[in-house]
Amino acid sequence: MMTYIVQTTNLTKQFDKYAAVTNVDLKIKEGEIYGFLGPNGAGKSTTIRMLLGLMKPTRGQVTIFNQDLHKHRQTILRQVGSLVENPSYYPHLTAKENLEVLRMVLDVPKARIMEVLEMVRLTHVANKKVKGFSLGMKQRLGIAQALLHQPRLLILDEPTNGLDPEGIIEIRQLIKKLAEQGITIIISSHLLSEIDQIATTIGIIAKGKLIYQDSISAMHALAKNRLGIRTNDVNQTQQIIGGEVEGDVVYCTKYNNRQVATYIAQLVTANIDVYRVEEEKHSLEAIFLQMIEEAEHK
Amino acid sequence: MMLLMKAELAKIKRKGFLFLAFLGAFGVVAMQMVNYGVRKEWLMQQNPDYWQYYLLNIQSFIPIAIVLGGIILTIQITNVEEETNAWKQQLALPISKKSLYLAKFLVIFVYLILAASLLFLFTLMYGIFLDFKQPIPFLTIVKESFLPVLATLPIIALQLWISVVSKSQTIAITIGIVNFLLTYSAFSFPEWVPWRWPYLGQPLFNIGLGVVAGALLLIVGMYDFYRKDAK
Ligand SMILES: Nc1ncnc2c1ncn2[C@@H]1O[C@H](COP(=O)(O)OP(=O)(O)O)[C@@H](O)[C@H]1O
Ligand SMILES: [Mg+2]
Repeated sequence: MMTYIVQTTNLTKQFDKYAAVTNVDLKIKEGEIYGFLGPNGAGKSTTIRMLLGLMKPTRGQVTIFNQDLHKHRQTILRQVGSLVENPSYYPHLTAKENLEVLRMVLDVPKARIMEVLEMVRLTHVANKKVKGFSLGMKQRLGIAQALLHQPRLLILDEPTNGLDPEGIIEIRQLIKKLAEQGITIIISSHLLSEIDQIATTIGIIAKGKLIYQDSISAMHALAKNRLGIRTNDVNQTQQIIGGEVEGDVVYCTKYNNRQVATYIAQLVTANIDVYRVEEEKHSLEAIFLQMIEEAEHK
Repeated sequence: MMLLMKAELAKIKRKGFLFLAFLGAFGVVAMQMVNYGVRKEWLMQQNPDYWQYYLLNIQSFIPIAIVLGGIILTIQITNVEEETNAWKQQLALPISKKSLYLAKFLVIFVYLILAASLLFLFTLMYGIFLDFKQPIPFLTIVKESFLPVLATLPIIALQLWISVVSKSQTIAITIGIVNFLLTYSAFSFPEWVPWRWPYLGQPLFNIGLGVVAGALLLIVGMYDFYRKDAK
């Protein structure tokens, strides 16, 4: 039996009549960077809130570390670090004091505070009030807060939202470093490029439904380009060059310049009229958008 | 619970809680400093028991000071979580939701007791300074300083509940003002009205009901907070 570090079954959240999350079955393995992708309002934060016990699901179950979240919330949360939506902090306190508040409750050694500040490169402002921090610094402090108790699972909800490119790169590098240390990371984003650059597995949510969940390489496989050839005789064309027929077009997926030239020569020799030879580019972006669109029109 | 209370204290660092406790206690006695400073002779003629009359004067200002102070503390201790929605961070910690709520209540209570201790001290000091040349009624001063806190518990518990679960702090502040005004004008209310209790018209009745209703509202608020999703 395959075991997952995070697994949800039929996870559903309804606000009054409005279904924000519907029957989501997340399956996240240990050591992964799980990219949780979806447009704004898709239900990412709502799902994440349910993973942390901040919201009670209307239906369904959350299992983390093979334990039921509802029954073992405190035990589970002892090993989970999180940053949900905008960073939370006490603006009138310094970075160090903010971490100290959490340290008391989490009961970790005092030295850990400077360690996590070092990790997010905030040591130089440790004694400054957080009120004056830039968004990027606040975001990094949020990650430091999440890392304080050396969690096994780190949940980051749009950690790069609103950051400049430099800040984004910095956070990405930090996340990669943490993953190398064996921490399982769930990171949400509404930007495919973000997830594509960092995740090992991807889960796509739209309108509250999980519409795709697989390794990032499987997603890339979907993005292969193909060559479409339109002629006056589909069947004969397929006999000559192979591939698949869709409507009045024959598509093949393995081709190079040499082959294309050969195909055309063969078709001409067989007296077939070649109307069009087109390469169809399926960028990851296009596939993503198509998935979202299909979900939204259902 | 001690850990959570310590964490609460760490959160409200530099929020002026100590100063507020001091100000509340000092303010009540300062009223009488002015009063006795201006017309000590006349006041001394009102009642042959000088201490009793002095304490009576002080007592009339205690309820509004405690209620006002308690409301401000309550709003402040929830406001630290509201500012950047730190609730979601606190509630993702491996602690029980109810304990977090209780810790906040207890910290407010501790500050009110602290203010009461200061009130005892200031009342005593200024009384001694007035030099009544009569025996000091220590026990009465202790009662007068600490017991109103117990009779105020329902108002504080209600205020905390509203602050914690309401969508915006404006609601909590509005209700705080209403609570304050009701306490301020409670003299004309019958004895069973909660805002009248801090005046200790019938001490045993007021305190008994205060503690029971306070505990009840605390539990109801705690349970409501527990039941609701985090903000
Ligand atoms: N507390 C709430 N009450 C009512 N509706 C909510 C609440 N939280 C979120 N929603 C709605 O649920 C949907 C999903 O929101 P959210 O999970 O925040 O999306 P995402 O994080 O993917 O942008 C949105 O339409 C949002 O308006
Ligand atoms: Mg969100």
